[in-house]
Amino acid sequence: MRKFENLSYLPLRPKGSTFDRRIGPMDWVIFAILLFYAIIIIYPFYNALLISISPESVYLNTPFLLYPKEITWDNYATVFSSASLWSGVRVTLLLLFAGTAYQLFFTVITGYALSRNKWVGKNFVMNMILVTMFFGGGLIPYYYLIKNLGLYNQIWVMIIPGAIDTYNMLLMRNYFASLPPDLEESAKIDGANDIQIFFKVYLPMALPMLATIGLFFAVGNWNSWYNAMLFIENPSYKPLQLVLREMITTSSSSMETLGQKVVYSEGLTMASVFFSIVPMMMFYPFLQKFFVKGLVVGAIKG
Amino acid sequence: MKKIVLILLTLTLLFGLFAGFTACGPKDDEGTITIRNLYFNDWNGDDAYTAFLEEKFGVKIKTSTYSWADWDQQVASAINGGNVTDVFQADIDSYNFANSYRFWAEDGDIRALPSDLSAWPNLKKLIESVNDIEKLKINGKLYGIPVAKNIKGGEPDFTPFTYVYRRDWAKQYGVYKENDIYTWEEFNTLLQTFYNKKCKSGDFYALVDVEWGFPSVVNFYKDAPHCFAIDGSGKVVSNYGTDPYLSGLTLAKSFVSNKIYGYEQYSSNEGDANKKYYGGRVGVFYENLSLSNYSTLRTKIQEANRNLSQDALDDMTAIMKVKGPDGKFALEGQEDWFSMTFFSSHISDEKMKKILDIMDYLLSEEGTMLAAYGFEDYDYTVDALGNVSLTEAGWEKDSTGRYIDKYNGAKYLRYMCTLGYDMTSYDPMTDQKSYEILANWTEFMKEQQAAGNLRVLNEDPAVKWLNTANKARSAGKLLEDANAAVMQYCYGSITLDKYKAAVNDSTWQKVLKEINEALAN
Repeated sequence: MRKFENLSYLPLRPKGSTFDRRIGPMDWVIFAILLFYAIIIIYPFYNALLISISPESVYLNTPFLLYPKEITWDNYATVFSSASLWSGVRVTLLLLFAGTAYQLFFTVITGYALSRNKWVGKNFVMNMILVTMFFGGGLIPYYYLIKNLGLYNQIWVMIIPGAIDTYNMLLMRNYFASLPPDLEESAKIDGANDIQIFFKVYLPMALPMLATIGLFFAVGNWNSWYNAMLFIENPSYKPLQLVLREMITTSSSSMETLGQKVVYSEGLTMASVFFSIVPMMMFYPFLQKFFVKGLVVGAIKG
Repeated sequence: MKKIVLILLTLTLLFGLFAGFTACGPKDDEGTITIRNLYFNDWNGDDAYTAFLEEKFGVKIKTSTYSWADWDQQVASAINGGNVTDVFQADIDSYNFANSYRFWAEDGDIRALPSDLSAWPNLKKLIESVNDIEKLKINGKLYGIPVAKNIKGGEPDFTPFTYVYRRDWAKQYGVYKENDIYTWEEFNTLLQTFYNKKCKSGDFYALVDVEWGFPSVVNFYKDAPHCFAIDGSGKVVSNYGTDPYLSGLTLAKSFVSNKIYGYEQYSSNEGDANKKYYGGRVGVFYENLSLSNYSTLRTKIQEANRNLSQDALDDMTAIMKVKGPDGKFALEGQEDWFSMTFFSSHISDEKMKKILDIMDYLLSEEGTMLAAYGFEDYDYTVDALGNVSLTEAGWEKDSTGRYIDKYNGAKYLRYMCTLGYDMTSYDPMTDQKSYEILANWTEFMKEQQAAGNLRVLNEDPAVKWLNTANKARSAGKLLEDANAAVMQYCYGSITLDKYKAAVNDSTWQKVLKEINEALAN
């Protein structure tokens, strides 16, 4: 209690007032609007959950599900026993950890190098990287590049080409540039070389940025499917999102699937969707504080 | 020192960049055949039947699949990137014929079939039986195999794009007609009755079209299925601007206004309309009633209504036969093939021969039995009268007594040449009741066609397969834009004048002028 005594100047509610008296009519209006938005955002997730745990008969007969009339875990059982989905999870986990580490490493060291003063060709390198934000070679040259580098149908095709993300590299560069140059000079006086300065002085100070960019990369890797769609033929190299995409598009298409068993595709799809989004949803809150801080710091300084 | 490192780094980067554009050429492993196909799904070639074929033909088969949503892009990027598998499947129709198939052939991306196919009699027979096969030849050569729907031929030239309806509702409200045959007036009365009795109160719809099929009622008025129609003077015109089409469109718009088309077709997603019908909220549903779709529809309705009797299910999934205002049935025309199988130009003569050998075998009687049932005396036995019995060892059943599907490489590889409708009647995985209903409907429509009572909507072959620059470039887009304009007009987003302008704009005029000039020459 003692530490709050000094904060008595803050506009807290006056003694004796009630909670209701503090909230005016406009607050209720704002509250209602926010609640409405919250429902709009949350309902699709809730609906997906309901569909995933409802039997097909309930789903087909109830256009607008509000609560589970009947519960079945069959869809989750099917999902958890699906070899292709687990294979997708393995690939996605590899992308998540190896890909994120790889991208972080290259993006951070490039950002750091470009934030330092006085080296020949810095502007040239910077501009070369910047150009890629606005111009691309196009799909077919990229396809040739991947093929001739021997990356076609290799799991590395989803990792190696994404070494540096220009936007995130700029965030890192701006952040490093915003730190006082005295730090570097002091470290040099103390006998540190460039690598020591980077790892022991600057990198520890960039943790919020690392967490933010790491989260960007992790989410990107978790959700990635496009490169795999173009370059992966081997089913065991397909990431989770591509497996899901194929599952969803095939089940809702009018493709002839002669002789195949008819499945409750919506239930399976929603169970799969939950299976794929829950890990990321659980991960997000723990990094949120870094996320906001890092984003603001990188955006306004530099 | 720093400068040297920088120069070396720059050179390394440039080397990497240029290395990417250096042509390495595809690896051509003679012993392995790589095949990519839409219908392979999650089959990976790891089964006894594939092993049998590999041993028989002395090859290793490596398979991969296209995904339905990305099929065109996967094919286009692979072929433009010079990286197609030895054998691959592409969706070729008259609208992309010129700017894909012809282009690939002329560019040397795909390999022509041997001119003499007598060494592969089954394949030869299949190719010769395909309609419009001459149109698929480029400079006299065939550069792929049209994937035939039925190797035995006899496929109707009309599609099963038609109405399935709630016969039970029709009976309940006294508007049912015997044998599900309805005149145009009776059809309209039925829709109005469904609307009055069911749709005014609650989440029900009298008529719903599958997303790509809207507005189905125009089919009973229009003269051609897609973009191009021929007017009274023999001139090619925009089908969407003809008087018959506009009459149908006026009716469709009135159906929307009067809530007969009560369902929001404008913004619905693929599969939504089906779910409405499965859920028992639609009276009449326009859909592609192919065997797999119709079988799915019946299965879903059974699932939604547990303990449904067979008769009740039949009443809920009856196929309607509707005569248009001219007193005739009307159905869209169709090819007897879907998509084509191509061969990479990089494969050797020897490899080509092996692939054709495998295809020919799979189309033979022995290969067909392998694809349908598996190994004789293990998966099935044949008695003295030729009757086939499946064995317990070869074919497991689920708790409902239905055979469990299994990976059979022969069946999947057969998709390189045919969709396998010839096997449907005896395939253990076929839903026989659905098959029987559809077969009866097809037979009925064939009889009507023979009697001159069926109008089949076909594009004139001379226009359909005509290859001119603007048509090749714009036909697909014209079709897409015109369908969007139809939807916008029906739902009141644009006026009739704007609609007419949209389906006769400068691009249309340019393409039509070019087609008419080409045909005149």
